[in-house]
Amino acid sequence: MKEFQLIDEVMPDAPPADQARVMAVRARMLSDGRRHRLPAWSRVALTAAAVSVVLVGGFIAAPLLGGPGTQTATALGPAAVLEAAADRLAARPPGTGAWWRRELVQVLRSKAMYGFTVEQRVEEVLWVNREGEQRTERGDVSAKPLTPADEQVWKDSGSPKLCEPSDDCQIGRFYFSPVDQVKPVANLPTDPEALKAELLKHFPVSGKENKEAWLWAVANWLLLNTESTPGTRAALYRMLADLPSARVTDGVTDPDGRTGVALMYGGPNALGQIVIDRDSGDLLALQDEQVPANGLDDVGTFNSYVVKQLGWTDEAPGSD
Amino acid sequence: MTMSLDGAVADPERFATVFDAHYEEIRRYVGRRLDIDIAEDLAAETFLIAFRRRGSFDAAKGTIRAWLYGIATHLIGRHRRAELRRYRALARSASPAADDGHDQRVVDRVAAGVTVQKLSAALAGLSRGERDVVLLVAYGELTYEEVAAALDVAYGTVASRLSRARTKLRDALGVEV
Repeated sequence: MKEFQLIDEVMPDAPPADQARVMAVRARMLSDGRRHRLPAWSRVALTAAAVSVVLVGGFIAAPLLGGPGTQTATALGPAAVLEAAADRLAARPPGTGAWWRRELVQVLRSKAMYGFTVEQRVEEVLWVNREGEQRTERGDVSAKPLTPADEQVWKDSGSPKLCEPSDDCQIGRFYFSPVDQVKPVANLPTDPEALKAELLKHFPVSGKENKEAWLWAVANWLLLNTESTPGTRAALYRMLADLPSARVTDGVTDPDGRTGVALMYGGPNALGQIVIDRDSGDLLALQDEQVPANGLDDVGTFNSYVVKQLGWTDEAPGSD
Repeated sequence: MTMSLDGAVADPERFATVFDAHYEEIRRYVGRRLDIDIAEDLAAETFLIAFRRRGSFDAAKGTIRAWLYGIATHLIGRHRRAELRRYRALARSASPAADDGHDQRVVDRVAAGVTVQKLSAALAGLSRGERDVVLLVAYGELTYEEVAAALDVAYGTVASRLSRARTKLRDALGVEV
């Protein structure tokens, strides 16, 4: 029996939280960080925030709210930011050229033995031509302690090797459920509902997979590893934003410090993020955080595919 | 940015992960000590304060949980009278609603004579410091070290407050808690 269990068991519990209110509090807290000029918290402001959370077709529109004297006129909720970015992306032509080229840096951060965090990086270029032929170029992996504090702990620990000698500093790829039958991806619908219906034709009937998780994984693959058109990419954003378990958050940053609006899926212990440029709708990064359920300030990993460039080009593999 | 939420505390963009991980339990903790309308405000204020003061969080002094519970407990302290009123009201009422949703173990406790009414009266009889340590352990399941970090008091102070509180509760309830 834990200490004072009797008190925990006998005393009344708090009523369940209203999720709309929780999201309003969350948005308010984060918007405070972006503006630095909000007045002190007040019950009036909280009430306003709670009332102003609007659920529209699965989007969580949580406007950045403030009290008197704050700038709110131009602030858009994350869902509106994503919607506008998707509009701009969808308006872009598919592009010309013989090869589709995607350049990224995979960044993996994990806590090593002795408690310091190591960051490993590797560059990868994927080429796909109009016939569907693929080539992948992958560079050497670099590894270093993440921060000066990590470096100090590393040195204090006798500067141990940063990678396991057995794996020669290789880092694993996350594989996003390729669905070969959906090819050619260039012909996929540009309407989110039609796209979802088309993708779900390939949902495994026999398996016990969660439909949303499956759609999330397939969308990750289509965005990162295929030559899907701007229209289909925009539809993927909208399809994911519409999933009941997904949410849209503004102000998410990739390891290179680029900030965008993000689609989020999962919980605090395993959170997938698709970070999107607010203006162009370009994919900035696909990220995945794993945090152990018990000690949140304990070991975990953070993996990000930081997209440098993506699209059709006149270049060819080996020509750069 | 590291995967440790210690890193997330310092990074404004990643503070959302701290909120997602801990908001519900902090809200629940405050909501068990104060009426829910006040508790909702204080839970929100806890995170707003934490966000603003994230630069002062020191992982060497304790965990994020303890830090958040400390802020929440400090805010509850400003509503000490409201908390006492709540206990006295619970102590007076027959309050079947207060037992709604409780499981068989509670029925057993009630059978043993430890009711919401008696326990509320007993909690009202503790000093503020004693009540803080007892409820951080009971509701937050904080360790003594975490309680010490949360309240910024010495470990020995936590131990002595708990000891005094245990004696008072036993005298009031007639059973060991």
